[in-house]
Amino acid sequence: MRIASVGCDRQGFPALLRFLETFPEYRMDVTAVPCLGTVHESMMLHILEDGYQLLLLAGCPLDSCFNQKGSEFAFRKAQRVNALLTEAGIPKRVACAFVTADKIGEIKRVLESIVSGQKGEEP
Amino acid sequence: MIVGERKPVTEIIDNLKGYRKVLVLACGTCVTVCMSGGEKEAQELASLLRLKGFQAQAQTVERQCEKEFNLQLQTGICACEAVVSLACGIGVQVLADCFPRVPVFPGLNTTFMGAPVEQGIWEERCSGCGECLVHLFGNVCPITRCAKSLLNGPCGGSRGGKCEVKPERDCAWQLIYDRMKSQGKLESLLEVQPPKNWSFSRYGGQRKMIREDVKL
Repeated sequence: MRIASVGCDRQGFPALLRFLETFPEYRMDVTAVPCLGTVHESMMLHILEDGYQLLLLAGCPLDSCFNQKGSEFAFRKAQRVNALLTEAGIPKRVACAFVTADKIGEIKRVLESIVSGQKGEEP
Repeated sequence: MIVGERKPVTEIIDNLKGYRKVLVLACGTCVTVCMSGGEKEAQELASLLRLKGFQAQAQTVERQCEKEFNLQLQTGICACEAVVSLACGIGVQVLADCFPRVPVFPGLNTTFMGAPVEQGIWEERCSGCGECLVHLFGNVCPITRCAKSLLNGPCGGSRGGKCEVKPERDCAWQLIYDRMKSQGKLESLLEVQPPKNWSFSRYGGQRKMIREDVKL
């Protein structure tokens, strides 16, 4: 499964880098953004169009987002994109992991739940 | 503004069977404001169509309901096999009139003329009856907002200021009463309104307006 990931500068991106160091068996392309709230629906769909099966959004924990609502906005947009993908019968997904640089187990849990066919987008 | 709702993606894809090169055309006015047919939604739909194997592009026209705005599409539209218009029903028809050889499919269901009441919620405000009487009712249109379109209301069925037909909806006559009371004009509601002249409404078929003073 080809996986792309986008992480916020504050928490998500450092967590993704640390996750890939800790679990080298996972491979994914990683991009950093200033805040996860800046990742809009079209951008998510464009990334999926590039051949990725899964887009993982990694951001600050919902209750301590550096930009207050960035992670929440990203989560709601991901839900909307997933609804569109389901409606169109496209088996690609956007998942969210709300992490800190020390809490990378959440990324593994989300990825495993997606791989095992469970919904991984719930925070 | 005109409020529309995107058709189910499956319906749009079904309509496009047999076509490959598709132009998804957004409209930059009403349907952009109601977040159903603007540039953002067109790009999303084009992405979904590409993921489904179509060669889809998205483009925006400022107002699809005016042919002058559509003429800029001349080159782009000829390169595609079909167009999905995310404009209201007016825009779809004007676009098809401009390019009669290109199949144009509606991507929205045009729902009503309304207003945003809060983020994500739109409500119908006007039925386009052709003879506006809202000033008699505290600028709350009973034709549109009363389930029974009563000009001499209320019907007596409302409970707690809510409509008996749809209890989640405000009773229009309660709103009218409250507004007239706040303006000190309650007694004017005692005046019996004559039957409405429906000849200006759309029941006689398509309507047309001609203004000699602005014709060229």
